[in-house]
Amino acid sequence: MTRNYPFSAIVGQDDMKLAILAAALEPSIGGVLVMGDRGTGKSTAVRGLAALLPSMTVVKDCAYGCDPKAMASLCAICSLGAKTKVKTELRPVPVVDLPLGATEDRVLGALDIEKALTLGEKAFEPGLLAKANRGFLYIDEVNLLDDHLVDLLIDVAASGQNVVEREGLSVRHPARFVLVGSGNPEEGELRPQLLDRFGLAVEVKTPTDMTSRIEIIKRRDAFERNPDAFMKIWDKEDAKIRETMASARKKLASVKVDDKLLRDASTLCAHLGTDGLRGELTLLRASRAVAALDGKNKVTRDHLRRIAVPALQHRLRRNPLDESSSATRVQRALDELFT
Amino acid sequence: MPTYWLTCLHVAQLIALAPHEFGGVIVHARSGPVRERWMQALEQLVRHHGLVTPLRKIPSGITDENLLGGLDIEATIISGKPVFRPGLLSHCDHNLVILPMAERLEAGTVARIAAALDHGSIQVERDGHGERIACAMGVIALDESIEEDEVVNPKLMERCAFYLDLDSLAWRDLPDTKLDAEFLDLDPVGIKERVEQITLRDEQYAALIGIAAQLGIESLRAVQFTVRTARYLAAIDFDWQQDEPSQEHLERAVTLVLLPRATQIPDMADETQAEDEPTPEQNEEANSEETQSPNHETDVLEDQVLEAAQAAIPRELLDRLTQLALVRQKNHSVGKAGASQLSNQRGRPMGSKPGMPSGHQRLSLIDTLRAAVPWQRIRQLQFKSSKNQSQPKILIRKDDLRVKRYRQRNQTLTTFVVDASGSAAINRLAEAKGAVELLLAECYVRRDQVALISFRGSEAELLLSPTRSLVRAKRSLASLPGGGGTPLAKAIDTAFALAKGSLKKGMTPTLVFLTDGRANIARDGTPGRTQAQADAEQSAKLASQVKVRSLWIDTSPQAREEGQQIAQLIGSFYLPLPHARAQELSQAVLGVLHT
Repeated sequence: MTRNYPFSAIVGQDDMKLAILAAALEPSIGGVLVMGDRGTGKSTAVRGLAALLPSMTVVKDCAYGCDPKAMASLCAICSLGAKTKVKTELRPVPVVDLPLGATEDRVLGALDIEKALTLGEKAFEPGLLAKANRGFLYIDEVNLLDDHLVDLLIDVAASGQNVVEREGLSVRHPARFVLVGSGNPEEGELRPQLLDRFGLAVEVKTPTDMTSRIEIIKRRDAFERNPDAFMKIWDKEDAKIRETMASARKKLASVKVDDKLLRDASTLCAHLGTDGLRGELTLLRASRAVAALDGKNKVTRDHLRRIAVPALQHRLRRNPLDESSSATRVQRALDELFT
Repeated sequence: MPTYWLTCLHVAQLIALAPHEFGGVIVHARSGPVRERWMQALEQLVRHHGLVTPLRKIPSGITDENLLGGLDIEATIISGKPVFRPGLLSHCDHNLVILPMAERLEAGTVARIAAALDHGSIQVERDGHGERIACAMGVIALDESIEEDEVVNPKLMERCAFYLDLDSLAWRDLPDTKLDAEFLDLDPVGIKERVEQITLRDEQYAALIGIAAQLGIESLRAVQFTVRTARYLAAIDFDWQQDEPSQEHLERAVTLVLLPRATQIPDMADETQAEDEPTPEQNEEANSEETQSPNHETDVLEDQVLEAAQAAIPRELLDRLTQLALVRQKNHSVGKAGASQLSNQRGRPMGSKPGMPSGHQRLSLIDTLRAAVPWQRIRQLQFKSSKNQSQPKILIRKDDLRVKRYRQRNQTLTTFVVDASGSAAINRLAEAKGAVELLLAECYVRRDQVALISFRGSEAELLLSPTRSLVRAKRSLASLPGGGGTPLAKAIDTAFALAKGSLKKGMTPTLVFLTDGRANIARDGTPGRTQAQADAEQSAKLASQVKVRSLWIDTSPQAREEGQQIAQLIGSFYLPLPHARAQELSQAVLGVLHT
């Protein structure tokens, strides 16, 4: 298997990196969508994320990676044994790829074909959604995903539960995952329903200034020539981010949001006319994640400003009399309201 | 002998040496002796490097089943165990694969190939089987496009290091075939060992980035390919014992990778002249700047490399490539590939999806059987225990049913937006009507849909909603009255609203405006030239966001700036036709619409 380029070695693209880390820190934000030009390191960043995640405690041998502490979201097997003391184990947080051309049975899970054929036995074989439980589900080229798979995803991402009915077998298991998508907007738009499932959306562009372009090429070349040596150098930087993430996770619950900031968030959303409460909620959660990543106890306007564009830009209604991009509109509103 | 043939052979040499490192090569060539010869040379090189020949081909309509793999029904039935048959991509590890008619590849197929090019492997999750399959391959994409709007998917272009235009070579100009064989004299193992030792100096990196900027290339993948190419060229060079590429290596790498992607060609002629005469001042300058900054060194290197690289490609070819690159940039909507949709009824077969056959969804028998096979044993056990009837051979359940899917080329909708105001009526309304009638006939022949919007007074009216009925179109056109003001803003709004709606329905709309462009009714219906013009411009700006092809025919006796300006804002093709008759008008429109 090819090695992943380290997350910390990505030059620039600070918005994208911040959004990915925030979404990884706070699953309730609802994931992140990275859209942008070809060759901007979209999928590199997402794949690099796997190395930054701490391990998680799971019920031993559970196919769905159930959390022994969260009784409410246990799978059928784990909830049977929940009364007794469960054995646990540590597992890396899963980052599961949903490749194009995947068939439904692999995504949702289906009867185990092997057992069905050889033993005539009905056994459920969990799919990618089960594997991604409590972790990340990554879809590269998300706008090219087959329609019927998109339907499935929208449903499961909303309910956090996967229900499979087949051959008289009825399986229901938790499938809470952070949805991460990337794609090139020129190749087709995303269905609005799916777009809505993503908490944050960032646009990435190829950097144009010489210094960072040179740095990118040099690092890429070094990685290619000798990946081992390159990884050794950047492992330390990755470790730093990992530590930041770990301490931010501890901090997150205690980060405070005062009324003034709440008002700021509502004013901003009202000004932009975003639909519903989702925008406001995401904005607050994301701002808190940013504050936690900064190691702060309180969310400030600055945190809000830094994450406002990714949190809101894909929730704006198109304004027929304003031709500027939605990112610019959010930015403009920020400048107008909070100077 | 054209040096370009040598370039082509060099590319074959590099791609055969390290298929995955270079991603591949786009070969623009129609089938013919030149392409044949290049392919032969390539296969020879490929064999020489110990790869498997003949090279495999990925046809344009390939199914996921064949590309990625799927359950082998026959083997599964015989052996009683699930047998997964790997797809074409899993046979391509460490090899090259040919993509014939690459310009016609589906966006989805391209995305799957691109994933393999990016990672050297593909994740397959199909039919109860999940596996990561090694697939470090390179592609030979044969681009047989003729029309400008047929282009190879930019995603694929981006991932192929090289681009060759074999159509620019004539068979009679090619040298003796013996020359091709000389390229075989390589030691692949030694080169691969050496290539890892070779690095670039910081100035060399900077120079390559600078050249990319000068040529208007944004993507950094292209620069990365150039770096890689330069390193390989240095490694191939037997006399070269240094651990960095020479300037000549850089030049050749730029020729091979960057120049074919150029969207602009910096004119070096003036600078060349200046450098031809080494004046004392210049020498001084060079000396003084040596101590100044290393940046100057980069600049000099940049200019020299770029200049030499440009000299290596015939100027005409370079210009054509630049044109092409620009076209590609403009229509980044992947040619016609974007303009197709899935359909349940007709078009090219696109595999199947789970579902009940109904009125217009047809059962896919093979896929249904395929879905049912793995469960037979379980079902038969169940069947025996539950019923006493005689047992059918195959037990099929509702879950197994699969219906066929087709991909359908989109229908086009041509909408005529006809100015029926007083000013236009005097001048040209009759001719416009005639022309539209001729165009309607043409659209009818092509089974396109047409719609008609007319604007006069204070309103723009959809006279004829999208239809294929020629008679209806003619009738509504004949009864089109003239006179009144010109509410241009409203006309543009209405036209683009219709276009947007039809885009959503999966059609490909085209708009044809026939007007003198002299707006005098504002959006709110009040007369006044200034406000009307401003409104029209605003509408035009908004309209430019909808990606629709449009044509603006200026029918005023003397072409005026206002109309042209609005056409430009919309991004439509502007065509002044002050004195044309109906026949000429329709010819002009057809000419634009069909190119």
